[in-house]
Amino acid sequence: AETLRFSSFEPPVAHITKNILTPWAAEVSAASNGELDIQIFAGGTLGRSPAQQVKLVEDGVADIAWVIPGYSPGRFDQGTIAELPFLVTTSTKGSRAMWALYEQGLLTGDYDKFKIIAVLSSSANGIASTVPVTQPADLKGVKLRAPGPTMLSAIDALGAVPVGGITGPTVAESISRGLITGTFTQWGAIETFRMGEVISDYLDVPMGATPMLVLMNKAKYEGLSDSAKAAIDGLSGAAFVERFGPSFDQNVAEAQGRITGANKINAVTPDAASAEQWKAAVSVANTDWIAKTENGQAIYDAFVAALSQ
Amino acid sequence: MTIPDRLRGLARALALVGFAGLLLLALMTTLDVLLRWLFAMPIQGVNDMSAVVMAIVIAACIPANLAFKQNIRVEAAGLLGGPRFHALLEVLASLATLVFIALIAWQFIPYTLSLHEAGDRTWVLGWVIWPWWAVATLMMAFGVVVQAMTLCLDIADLFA
Amino acid sequence: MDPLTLALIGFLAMMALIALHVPIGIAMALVGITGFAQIVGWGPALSLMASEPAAAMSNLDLAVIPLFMLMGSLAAAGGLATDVYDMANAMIGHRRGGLATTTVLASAGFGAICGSGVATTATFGRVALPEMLARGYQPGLAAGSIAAGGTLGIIVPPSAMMILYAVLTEQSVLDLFTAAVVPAILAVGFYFVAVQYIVMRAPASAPVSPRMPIRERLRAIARGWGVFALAVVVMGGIYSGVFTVNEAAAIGVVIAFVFALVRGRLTRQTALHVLAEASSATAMVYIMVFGATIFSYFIAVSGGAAFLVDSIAHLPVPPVMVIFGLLLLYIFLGAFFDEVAAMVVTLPFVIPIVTGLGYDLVWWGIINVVVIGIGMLSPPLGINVMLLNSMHRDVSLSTIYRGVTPFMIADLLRLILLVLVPALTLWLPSL
Ligand code: NA
Ligand code: NA
Repeated sequence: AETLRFSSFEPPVAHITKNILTPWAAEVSAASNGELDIQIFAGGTLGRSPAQQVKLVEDGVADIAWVIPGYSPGRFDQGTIAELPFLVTTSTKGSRAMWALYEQGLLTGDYDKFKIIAVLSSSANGIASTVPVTQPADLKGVKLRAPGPTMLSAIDALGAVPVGGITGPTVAESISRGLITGTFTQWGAIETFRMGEVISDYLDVPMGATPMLVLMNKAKYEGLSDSAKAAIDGLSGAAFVERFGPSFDQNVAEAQGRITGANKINAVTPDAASAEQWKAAVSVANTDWIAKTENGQAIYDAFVAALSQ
Repeated sequence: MTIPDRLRGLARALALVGFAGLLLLALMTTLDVLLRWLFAMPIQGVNDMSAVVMAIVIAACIPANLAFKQNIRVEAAGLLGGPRFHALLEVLASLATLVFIALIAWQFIPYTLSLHEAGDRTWVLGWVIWPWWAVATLMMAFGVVVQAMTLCLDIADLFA
Repeated sequence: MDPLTLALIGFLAMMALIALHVPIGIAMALVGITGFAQIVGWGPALSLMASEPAAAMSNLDLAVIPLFMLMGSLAAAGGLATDVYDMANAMIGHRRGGLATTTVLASAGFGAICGSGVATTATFGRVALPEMLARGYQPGLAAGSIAAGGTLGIIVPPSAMMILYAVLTEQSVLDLFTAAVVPAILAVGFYFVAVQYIVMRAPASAPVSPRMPIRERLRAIARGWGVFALAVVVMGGIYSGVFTVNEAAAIGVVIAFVFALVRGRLTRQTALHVLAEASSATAMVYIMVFGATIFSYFIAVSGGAAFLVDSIAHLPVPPVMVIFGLLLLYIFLGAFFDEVAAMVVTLPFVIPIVTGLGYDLVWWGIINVVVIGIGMLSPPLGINVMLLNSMHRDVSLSTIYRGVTPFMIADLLRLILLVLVPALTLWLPSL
């Protein structure tokens, strides 16, 4: 059998790697009738840094990788649309819409350099904090972990103070030591990075999601036999998206139950009026994104249309 | 001054400039912290700058490290033989080091080119990053020159 | 070839190259890519020679090492080490063995602003050894206390070794620094006892110094504030969350720089010396990291680590015996190997074993650093001992090795205590 190396920087026990990527690899191997043997190298055993994953596939160190394109600014930039506020709500809908954009040919450039197995999105990030945050004015002067550049103008507009250089693994200690007061995140990440014990409040407003990709080395894919290609294709694209989104959302919901059960966290969903206030307060991010992205308006409109289906 | 002396001097000067750059970076970080702490007005993108400047600071140290043979070694086999054997081991170690630095310098070229083609940028400020890595590549290439000189000197010692 | 056989051959080839004087990081890198190429082909393997160094060079956690190196060098150049020594001397110098205790205390104090054990040893080799010899201290005790005190440079946070370990095992640097607090206090306490034991056995080894006039004592104590200011701002700032570890290191550099400048200690000559010292130490660490990561990818792809973990997990011995076995291995390797190198070389195998046995990687990091400290003293290759001997040729290697023996026994007892009671290490970070 031809061995394909699938790299994940996540530990092998983490939800996506354990419950989505690993079974996917096994199913593709099985569907290939022994032609393919997809091995998972989790925990960064082929490349530790999340930012390195694209390069691993380009260089052929890994054949397939699970990638967060936000770590490679300047590449896959059209996909940062998922990072905008008040668009993506659930991973199920967000991933379907991202895949729709790809199928419509609106994601170009670096996307064309790879065999795209899936284009995905997390569920929306809310605001986790150590102070009560219910309306936009509450964030004035609050130190927030700086997310990607997409949200910086919105943070500015809210009068919050972005603090850079905080990685996922250090976010909990940065909160507990008061270096930051809050961060945009969702329950799955709150559980993974053990933030449950250090936050006191969570506001469920959709402040943007995290786009993700599963990439395969194009030359490697094209060198495979037709039956091996068919085994991969049969479980890629829409099939991958349908496997990913619901599982992601279910994990977020379960994580929320576990975390709010074990910690005293005041989780709030804003009413329609205050949601509108939030939407207005951060809309600058969306107009900025459209202005500075090539073909931005068309992508934006297509994304909104796909989300509403 | 002989050519080896000049090369060593240049390598050392490069390391000094690199670390002077580190001092500047430290000053900027301090300023960022003070502004954030006192006025809630951090400088945007200090981490961006740190990441690219650090790459050059580290690359700048490497030629001097090679020129003055400052890597951690375990001189076990040398206990077994005389000065001639010792000189032979020295040649072997220098050759391995040359292969190492030459591979790095060589591979840094396609690496930098791929950053150029892909258009990788820093996170917040959006700077293109390939020019920084091009400078780092030049420093690695200078490391190859320095190490080639070291190897020649070691071979000369073997036959002295 | 069977990947496991390949991993074994790779490991032996690396050890052989190291024994043949090839620098450790370089031996690991060369063997690593050759082995990796056998599994995935030369193209991808060679690409690691750029992508791994590049990943390390832009890793902001690792960037703390050059900053702490620079801070320590600047602090020493600015005379902060002399000050802290004078201060400790003013407080306890007049007791029996007081200067040796002073050295330990001052090393710990300096260790709180310097991340390197070798730099701490070199600093007090300059500051404290002439002082003790002039006061009639037996050279073994004098040099022994400095060599042992020097290990506090890596045992008291900040510590370059802890940063290196944290980066290579993906642990939080801050967790390691926090975990090190209690073990560091224990280290100082155990060394105090060792000094008292020595002077009780051989009172002549440490003549009692006259008590300083009270005025002079107060002046010396007052002059020592610089070290405290630096330690409080840097470590206090980290622990309290005013800034990140990176920011603290950068601020420490600036403060140490200002101190040296204001005190008029920063001549052109010393400035050049400081920069050269810090940059050479930095390059050394990075080359080691390049090699270690490349080698560890090879070991991961070959399945060698997984195989080893599996075999050890099925051994019919309790986990703590495996841990003691590993420690014995390290101490044995340390006889002819540098301990830092021993740690880096074995991490790809040992880390899966330690986690597989259910131990905490932060705890193991502290244990590792303590073992490295012991290795800095143990013959035949005790770097602190050799460094002191090179600085003061009239104090022979065997004299110093005899002098450090009681301190090493204290170290071993402390090591056993830390292994048997992980809570000593893990309690503080869990708060
Ligand atoms: Na220290
Ligand atoms: Na040793």
